[in-house]
Amino acid sequence: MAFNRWEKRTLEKIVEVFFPPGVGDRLKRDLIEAGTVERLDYMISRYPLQARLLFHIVIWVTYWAPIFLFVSILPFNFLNWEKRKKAMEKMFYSRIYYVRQFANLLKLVAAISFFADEEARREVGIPGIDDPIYSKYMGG
Amino acid sequence: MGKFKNHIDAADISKYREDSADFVVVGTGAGGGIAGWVLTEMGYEVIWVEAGPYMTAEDFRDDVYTSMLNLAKDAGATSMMGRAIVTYLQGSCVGGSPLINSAIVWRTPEEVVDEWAEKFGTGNVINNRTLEYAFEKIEKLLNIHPIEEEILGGNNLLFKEACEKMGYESRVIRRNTRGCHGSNRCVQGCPFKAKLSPDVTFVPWSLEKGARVYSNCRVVKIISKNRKATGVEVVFKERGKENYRPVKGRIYARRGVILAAGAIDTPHLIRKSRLQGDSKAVGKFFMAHPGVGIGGIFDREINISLGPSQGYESPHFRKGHHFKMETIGLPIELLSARTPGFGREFMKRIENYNYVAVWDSYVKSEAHGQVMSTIFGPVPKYEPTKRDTEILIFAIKKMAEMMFEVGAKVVFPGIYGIPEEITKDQLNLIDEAEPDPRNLLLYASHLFGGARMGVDPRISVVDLNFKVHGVENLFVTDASVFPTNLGVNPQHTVMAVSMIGAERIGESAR
Ligand SMILES: Cc1cc2nc3c(=O)[nH]c(=O)nc-3n(C[C@H](O)[C@H](O)[C@H](O)COP(=O)(O)OP(=O)(O)OC[C@H]3O[C@@H](n4cnc5c(N)ncnc54)[C@H](O)[C@@H]3O)c2cc1C
Ligand code: SF4
Repeated sequence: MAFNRWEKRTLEKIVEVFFPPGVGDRLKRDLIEAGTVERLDYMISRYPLQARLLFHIVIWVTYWAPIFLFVSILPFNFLNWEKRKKAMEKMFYSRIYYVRQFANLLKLVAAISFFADEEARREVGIPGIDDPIYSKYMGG
Repeated sequence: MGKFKNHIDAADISKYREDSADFVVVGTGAGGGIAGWVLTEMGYEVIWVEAGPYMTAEDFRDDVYTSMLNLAKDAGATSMMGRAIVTYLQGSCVGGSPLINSAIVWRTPEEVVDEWAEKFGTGNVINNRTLEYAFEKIEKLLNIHPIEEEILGGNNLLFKEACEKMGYESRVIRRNTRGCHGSNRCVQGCPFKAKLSPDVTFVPWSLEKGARVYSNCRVVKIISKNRKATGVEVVFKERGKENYRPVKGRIYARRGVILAAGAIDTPHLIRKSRLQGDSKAVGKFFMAHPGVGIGGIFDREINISLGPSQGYESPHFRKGHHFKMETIGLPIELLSARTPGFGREFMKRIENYNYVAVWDSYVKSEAHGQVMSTIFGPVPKYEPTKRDTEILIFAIKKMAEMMFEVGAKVVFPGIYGIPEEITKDQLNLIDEAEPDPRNLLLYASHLFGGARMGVDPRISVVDLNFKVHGVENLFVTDASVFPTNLGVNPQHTVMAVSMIGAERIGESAR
């Protein structure tokens, strides 16, 4: 395990900004069904020490970001979705390069962990390896 | 113990182990794979030592998550340090980076070969004649050929159409594949065994002839006596984990240790083992092809998941502007990370996945970085120059123009300070982008230098016999020996140069 309970909760809140439950037309899967946070936690536990340390910092920065970025007087986990989105948006457009990079990094790991779920990939129309569409060509 | 005859999975080894062979080759990627095969064919006993696992088509999964965990160095959490962060990817498995690469093949440009000869004195060894011989041989062995039109798929065909409309030189990519199904999964490991990377070619061919491969086995030090390499010290991996157990082993090399651990780990191993010999350049002159990608949304279905991951390319700006354009069928995971928005707005765009095209460009960068050895292991320090950044912004503009030319509704240029999504009449906004690398999302998968070849030990690490200056029996045959940046996809040059190197090493050991 890479994160403690508080960090995992923050991570869940962060990922939910990108993939909130039930808002897609075709994409019905939600974070919990897709096992996203568990996967993310495991993936980061496999990262080398310096990358793991960086992730703890990223979580910490995001937790306090709403206050530093003048979105709210409360930290990330205590905000509703709209406010969390606003804080995250401000991170993406921040003039501070590393804050922008942190936001990009979070979106990347969230997407990698979310779409590791086969159902989620099928819902957006990605064929599986055994889909007949790939048997079209088997030449030399 | 292993999956095949002569394969030893070191995750199963529980106590100290010793072994020996004529040559120990560190790494089974583009350089190490072919070097070990050449030496086996010459009749030598070869042992490969590979840090990653030996995965086969049956083990590969559809998703990037699993491929990063199983096949990439540090589970894909790798970046170069500089003012701007450039993320990079390297394979860490039997087969090395070619197992996760797009199989694009390019011969070394003549002007690069000439520059190496002129500035580094490599002309007697690496010249158009020796390269031609190696290319011909490799192209036959690996079935290198242009992709068949019928499997190209929408993303590649759209790029072709755009180049034709713009009057840009373009062509179908030549690749080392046999029976490609166009599954757009090259980075996840080919599920159809179509990509002819070393794990399905040079390594198994050699295992049949008596070579051995230790997988999940990391070299931590080169053993030496009086400036002569005699073997390697290794540690064994914990199954399914990143960490290596304290159990150690030694593999002795009677005739030589050949480093082919890639442009980051090779210089680190030399330095960590204090075997710089006479060279003052270990880890220096590290180079890369930093790249950028753009996405566009279309009215018609593109079906990016059909077709080879990278199937069409344009060398149109290669000579005059130092960049090359290609298609890239980004998997959904990586594409979503680059897609703007949150929540419903974000989901809508993702659900348009089949209407998206993605292309990329990389620059023949003029920057030199270095590989630093830290307590965390090797850390590449590198940053594209202002000129490189200007070129990349220009490349983004050209690709955006091409996308609009073939009907894109909107394009995501991926430049900080410019709207995340632009329409055709906003194209000129790209000209206002500040040429600061921190304004771009940069990545690199082509890395070179760090142990470059040359006659002068002040600016090079290996001599014309691929031997580390002033150290006996220690050789390098991978991308780290390149004296300069290539400007084209490197795996073919890595294989050809390593083939030439292994033949020389084998001849001189007789
Ligand atoms: C995602 C991706 C896509 C690419 N696409 C293309 C393409 O389409 N065309 C192209 O020409 N090039 C491409 N490249 C680049 C090309 O694959 C590399 O340039 C080439 O493989 C470099 O060869 P190498 O032998 O130097 O290193 P690698 O092929 O990376 O091999 C190094 C090997 O050494 C092992 N190793 C490292 N350290 C140790 C250690 N201490 N002990 C034991 N083993 C160790 C690694 O695990 C790895 O298997 C791509 C690369 C990537 C990552
Ligand atoms: S496109 Fe698919 S079938 Fe073709 S080489 Fe890549 S992974 Fe293999």
